[in-house]
Amino acid sequence: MATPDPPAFRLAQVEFAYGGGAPVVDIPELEVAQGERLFVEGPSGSGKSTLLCLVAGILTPTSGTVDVLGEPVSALGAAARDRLRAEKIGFVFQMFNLLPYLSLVDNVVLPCHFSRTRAAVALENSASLTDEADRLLDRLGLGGNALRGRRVTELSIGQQQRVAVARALIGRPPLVVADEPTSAMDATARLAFVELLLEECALAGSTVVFVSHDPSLATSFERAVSMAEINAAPQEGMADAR
Amino acid sequence: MRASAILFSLAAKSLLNRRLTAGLTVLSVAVSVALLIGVDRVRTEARTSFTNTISGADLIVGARSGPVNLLLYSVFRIGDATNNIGWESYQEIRSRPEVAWTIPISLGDSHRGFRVMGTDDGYFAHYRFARGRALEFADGGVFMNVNDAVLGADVAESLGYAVGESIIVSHGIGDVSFENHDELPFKVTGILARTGTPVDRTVHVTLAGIEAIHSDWATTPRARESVVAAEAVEEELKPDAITACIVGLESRLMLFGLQRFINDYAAEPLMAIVPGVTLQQLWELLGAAEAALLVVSILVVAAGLVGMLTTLLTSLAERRREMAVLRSMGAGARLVFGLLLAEAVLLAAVAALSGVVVVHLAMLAARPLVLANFGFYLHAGLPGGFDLIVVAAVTGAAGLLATVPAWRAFRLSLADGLTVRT
Repeated sequence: MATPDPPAFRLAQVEFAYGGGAPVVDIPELEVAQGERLFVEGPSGSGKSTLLCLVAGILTPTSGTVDVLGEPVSALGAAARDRLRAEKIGFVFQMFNLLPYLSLVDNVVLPCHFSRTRAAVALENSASLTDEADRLLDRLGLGGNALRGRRVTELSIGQQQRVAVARALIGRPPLVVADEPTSAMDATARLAFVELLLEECALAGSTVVFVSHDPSLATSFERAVSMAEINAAPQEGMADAR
Repeated sequence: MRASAILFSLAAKSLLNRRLTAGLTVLSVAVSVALLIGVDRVRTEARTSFTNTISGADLIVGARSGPVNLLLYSVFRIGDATNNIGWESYQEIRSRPEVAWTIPISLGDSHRGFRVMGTDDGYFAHYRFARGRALEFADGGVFMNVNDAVLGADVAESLGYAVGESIIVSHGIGDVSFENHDELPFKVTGILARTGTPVDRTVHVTLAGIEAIHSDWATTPRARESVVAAEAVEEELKPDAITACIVGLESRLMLFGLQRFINDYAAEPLMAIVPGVTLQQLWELLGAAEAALLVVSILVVAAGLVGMLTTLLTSLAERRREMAVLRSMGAGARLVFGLLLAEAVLLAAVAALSGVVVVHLAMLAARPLVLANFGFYLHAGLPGGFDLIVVAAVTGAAGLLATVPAWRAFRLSLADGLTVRT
């Protein structure tokens, strides 16, 4: 009972290099507690995307360890890492988050097909997965049948990003990762979106990692770090492009 | 189970979203499959149909030419005779002790595109098709008079003739003939039930009738009598020659003896063939052409599948983002691989099945045309074993070929991770 909650994720002595080149990421230590809201700031090429891929278990570090909610991601096999990602992490990307051939609701429900846990949690809230998707879309201001019937490609960027948030939050994953989700929005929409995202994540009890090149958004978060602080690898403009 | 259900549902929705390119791919593969099945179908149908056209006949006798040629013009009404059998020779064959019955065949005239065949009662009594079935009358009965005619089912149906109708026979076998034997019209006395053989497309008249229109008999006082029984004028209208005859034997043991007798017949050069043996020769003759056709249609299917491969490969570039989104939700790179595979298999299966449907509908539509021009009946039956094999093979081959784009998608999605680098 007394064991403290493991951190949402923890990186220790993590180095990563693409194909034997110079390391693009060298993070001696980064720990994020559960429920924390972290803002990571850094220009493009600072290793942000690589960091997220390491946490998500898409990449494995060249050396060092990555733990997510107490599980040693860096030591797991590819299938186990895929499963962990499905169960524990919700993603919101910069743009083109949605599958163009699925309806709004089907896009939101999709993660539940890859994770039994998230499907089970979603069903605690609502009678069916589509009901839960409807509920989340309503909360994110995407109510109304007119909107619901549209193709996702007909939505505005802001609307698409809110659908992406609903998808990231369905089944309440413990960790939500947002990678530049506001870069295509204007300043007021940006702030409103960040507030909405944080509010919903707080409701779901999810830890949030929000990555952006725009430091002005940092004020909404309780903790902010910059890639320059945490990444010891030399940073160049194109360092994380191969 | 669950994973494969998502896989196919995603693949299907993704294909529906790209319905134009997917539809065109399906179309090209479907057409190629239809061609392959069609070629095979026509091949087997031609064989069974030819085999079904004549049954129970021991020998076919005609002027000496090629055996296949004789078989084609005498039974299938394809091509023309090069020469005739003299009436005396026919009478001699007919009176041989081995011979149980004969059917004389006299060709060379036509009625509005349908061939006219002079024969006698023996035809309705002894002609057998489709493993021993006898001819039956749908309406009316056998001809009695010089100018009576019995129509095949197709002749009656396509020209709208009924018993009692009067018809004019033309010289030659073209659709349009300039020489009409209009001095002696024929009266329809019977219409045969459908047989699915060239019999359906034949106008049958008496031998005396054929002779009558080729002589000036119609101008004689006898011809002005309203009814002239064919037997009554047998001597008067005795033909000089017939085109061929079908011979039935008392016993099949006598077959080769009689065949030798006819082939060595001194008075004129004759030839006797065994229909089954000659059909076999025909198949051997056509075998190479059939094989070539089959190879060509298999290559067309291969081309269709390569087209599908190209479409899948080019679609990958614009779908990398979609793969990254799936990966972020926990889809393994293997699922990405499977998704491409599932798309290919779905496309190919839909295409192959539509090909089967198309070919059977096309055969149904082409049936009268094929019967008219090639003398055989296409049975557009239920899809058979070969169809299933083709569907399975095409689907399997598509799955195999799709490992190329699937492998590429797999590698790309591993390299891309969550962000597509270009």
